[in-house]
Amino acid sequence: MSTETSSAPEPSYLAASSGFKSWFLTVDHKRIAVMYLVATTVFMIAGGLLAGMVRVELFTAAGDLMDADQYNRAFTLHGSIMVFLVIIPAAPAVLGNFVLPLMLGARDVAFPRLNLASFHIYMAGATLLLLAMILGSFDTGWTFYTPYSSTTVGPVAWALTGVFVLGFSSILTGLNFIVTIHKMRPPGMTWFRLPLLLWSLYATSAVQILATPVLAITVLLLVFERMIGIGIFDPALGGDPILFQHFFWFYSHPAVYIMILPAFGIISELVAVHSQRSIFGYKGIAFSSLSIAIVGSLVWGHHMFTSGQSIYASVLFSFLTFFVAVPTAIKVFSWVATMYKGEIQFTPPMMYVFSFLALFMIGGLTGVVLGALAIDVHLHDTYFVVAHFHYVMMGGAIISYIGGLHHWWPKIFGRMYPQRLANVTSFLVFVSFNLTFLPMFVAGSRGMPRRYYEYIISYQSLNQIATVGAITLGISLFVTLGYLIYGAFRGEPAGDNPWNGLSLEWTTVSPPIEHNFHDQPTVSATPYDYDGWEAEENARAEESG
Amino acid sequence: MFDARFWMPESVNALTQGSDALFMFILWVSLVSTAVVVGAMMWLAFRYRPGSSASRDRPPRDHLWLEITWTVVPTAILGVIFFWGARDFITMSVPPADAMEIRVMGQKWFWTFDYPEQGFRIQATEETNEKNAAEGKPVGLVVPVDTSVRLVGSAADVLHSVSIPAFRLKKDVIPNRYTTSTFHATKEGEYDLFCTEYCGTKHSNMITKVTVLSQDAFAAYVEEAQEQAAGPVDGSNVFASSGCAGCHAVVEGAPAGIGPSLYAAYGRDEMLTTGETVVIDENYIRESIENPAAKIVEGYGPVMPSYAGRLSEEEMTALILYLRDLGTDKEAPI
Amino acid sequence: MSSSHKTEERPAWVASFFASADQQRSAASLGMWLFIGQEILFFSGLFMAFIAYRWLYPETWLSGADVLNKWLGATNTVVLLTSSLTMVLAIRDLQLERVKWAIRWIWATVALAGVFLVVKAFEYTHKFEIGIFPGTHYEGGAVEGMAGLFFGIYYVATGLHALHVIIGMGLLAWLVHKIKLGEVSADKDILAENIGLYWHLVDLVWIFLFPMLYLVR
Repeated sequence: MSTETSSAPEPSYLAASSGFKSWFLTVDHKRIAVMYLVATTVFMIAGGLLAGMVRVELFTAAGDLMDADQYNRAFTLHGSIMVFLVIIPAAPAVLGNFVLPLMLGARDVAFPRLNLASFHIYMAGATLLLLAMILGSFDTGWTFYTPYSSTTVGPVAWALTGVFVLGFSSILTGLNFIVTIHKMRPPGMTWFRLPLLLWSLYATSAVQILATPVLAITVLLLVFERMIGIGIFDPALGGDPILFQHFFWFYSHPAVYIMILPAFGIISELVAVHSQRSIFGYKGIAFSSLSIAIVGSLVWGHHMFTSGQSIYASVLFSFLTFFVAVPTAIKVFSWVATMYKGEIQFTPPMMYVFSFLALFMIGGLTGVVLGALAIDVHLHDTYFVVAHFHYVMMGGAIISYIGGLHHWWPKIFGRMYPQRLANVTSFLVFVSFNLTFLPMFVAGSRGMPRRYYEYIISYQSLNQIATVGAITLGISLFVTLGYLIYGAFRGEPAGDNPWNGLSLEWTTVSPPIEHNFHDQPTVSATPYDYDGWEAEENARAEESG
Repeated sequence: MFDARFWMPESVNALTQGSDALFMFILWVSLVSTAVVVGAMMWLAFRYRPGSSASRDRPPRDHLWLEITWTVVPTAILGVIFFWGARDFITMSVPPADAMEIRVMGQKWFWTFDYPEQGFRIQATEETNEKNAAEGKPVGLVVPVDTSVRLVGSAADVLHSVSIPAFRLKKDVIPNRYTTSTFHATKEGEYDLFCTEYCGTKHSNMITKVTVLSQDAFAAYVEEAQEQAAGPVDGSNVFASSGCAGCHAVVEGAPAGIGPSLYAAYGRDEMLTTGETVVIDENYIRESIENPAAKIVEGYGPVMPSYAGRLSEEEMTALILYLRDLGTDKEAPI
Repeated sequence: MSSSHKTEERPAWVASFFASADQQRSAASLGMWLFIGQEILFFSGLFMAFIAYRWLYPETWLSGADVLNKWLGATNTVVLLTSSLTMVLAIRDLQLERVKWAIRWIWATVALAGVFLVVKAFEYTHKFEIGIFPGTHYEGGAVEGMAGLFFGIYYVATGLHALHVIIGMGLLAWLVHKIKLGEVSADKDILAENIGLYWHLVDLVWIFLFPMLYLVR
């Protein structure tokens, strides 16, 4: 191996070049990740403010703050922005982009220019959604059910085109990741020495590539339906609105696995490093990611139990839905078992692991409630569902993503945020999250329908608790954003490996140089070999072999 | 919260008696498993905190029997839940042979209930709901207790969904198609009925009640309703019960709603979206009721659903006369 | 920037983040296959819609298929299959370093694609003359029932396919340019191979569309 002989240390990727073009036209995966970070954060704030509007309106049973149309647009935009602009891209495009090549000891992803294109396509899609907002906004719900969405007046086609464009960003990112993981592993990194984050990103990318095109054709057909009235989804023209639901959910259910699988991968990394221990059940976790991706592509009809689809179809979908719960349970048990005989670090990332485990248990188990056919009839389209998906999407995916940001922040920016404040704030986030969404389970089981601008008075006290929780949650998240930004610019220099992680990203400087590593790293074990057991095994194999 | 009544309204549908028990079973399973997982997590965090004296010798990377157990046990429990849910679902989906049939039609933003066996119709708009409540009459869908009812549903414009929480009942209604749901009310009373499929501006106002009467009271109600159906038709009643007021104002000086104001509209010149002008006469009114998309007033959108085939000739005439006289001296319908 | 990679014969066109030319080529190939996979899923949505409605409206589907001209459709099938052949020949000649012939075969592919589009244009204009427009603009009386729906799917499916043909023609012209610049050659042929794969996909989609739309009873 040749060594660096330059006299001055190489600048970090942040300092390597400056100016607008050096960011706008960068092919460095780390800069692209940072741009995604800024964009998704801005969109999350926008989506969060819309949620704030919705929750404040719902503080009272009567509609008093805004009119019904404004409310309907607010919840539609909240959902569309959060799903398409925040949760689906965040973990893969921010953390995946930054960390994946580093974990592989690689200099970049397989197709860096395609990566840049993915980012610009994402921004183009976001612009189209923004355009739809400016042109009067739409109120179809993020689910665009026909025939309401094919007949209602408004810039729906702009929004659908935005979703179409965003889909491409997702597909191309997934394509990039799969090729990178297949082809750019370092010497010694066999499949079963891959970090678990990469297993989960692999499964996520497979789903992104296979499911998103179906969304693409669905929204395209809906745009044509609106423009020239093909009649494919509109019953007045002979079409079938249930066909739309099948097409839509064929993507949108796997989409939730796109959201949660990277979150699972992040938790695997965090729990091992912050318990300073090898992960328990590596193969179980790796295979469970793949089985969730596969089985999760077969359960879309569980969104349609009351839609009028046949009883047999409903029974089949329910059966498969329960199947997908099993690999998920295996993961949760394995993560808890990883803490056994570990050296538990009470760091902010670990606080988020604890939050995740509690919140995801609630979210996942309420999914089991909804999968049970007889109960789903009562709970479908009520606030029970709203609570369930916020627990898994926000309490699961976003909490894990924020935990991941806390874990890799020192690597991305080379500086540390105030950890004690972070621990306290994570606790506030946890408490206010539950305050916001637990009452919704009760409101839903008591019959309160979702997407209601006004509701009958008996649901008011539950809604008031939820609104108070939501405001506190919003404040806690803003505090989090604040100290993270402070930490990025003014925090203490963090060092290369503040958490004593064993994966390859921790072997290079923080923040990394533009080309990540001076020398090509090699591996001989999983990045969880804290007890040195694998190293012993390798040494023994060498001696005898 | 360990009692089903904390979570659900009282269950008064004989066909769904099992679901509350299933819900509570899943709730218990969830509470126990969450307690186990979160409890283990907290206990392990405490026991293996930095500086604790617990042994860290050879942390296990796997354990075949543990992993098999925690795969098989959840699978078994989930299997029970699936089977229970599916079985109850099939039970509640198959209507008993002797069920009374009632047809429900969802339309933006009210419900219409037709009783083909008895020959009358209830239109449960906001106005008629309020009126009936004020007059002490049964509100909304009226059914007899201890009788199986089969609801055959459809929609006039977009997707809606009939939801009756106390019956644990929910079914989407779809245009140009029929979907079926069944119930068998076990207790007299008044229960909420909501629309639970987003359908536009007044989705959250598309609510009414299910009134369960004793069998005698129901028989009396049916008689009265049949008489009314056979009697003279009042135009303003047709207007109220067809849900027109949801979009069209009928008083002087009222602000424009989703549709143009109809006060003193008859005889007026109206500009259409195509630029041409029409005079509002009987023909125009009739066309707008049956084929509203044909001529749309400038400044409004193609929102109004068609009532073609929904009004009898008598009702149509009464309605047109009512609108003709609106805003003139003779406001009383003929 | 230093590198610890063994600098064997590392051609200049290998990107800095790849360990070798082989790795770069193999990555590009896998990437293309994944892209093809997602294109197939995109079109499969249309096939599903077609199948679903054929089941619901069999009479419309039968009379709709009658209006479509099987002979023009078959001609187009032969044209596209031949264009796939010329594409394969182009790649073969490129690999045998017969650059002039490779370029000629590529232009032949483009020409055949042009023929396909011309035939398509004839089909479309003929339909417009008898009032067969997609969706609610349908005026022709030739087909009963849900004709707007049948032809709506017909136009969307063949229209999206034709769009892919046009994009393919653009890619092929660009490929010729790259070959002339020397950036694509016998040792660096992955771009040609990938564009060839794209072209075969376009052909494959038509192989399914043709019988589905024109022939199935």
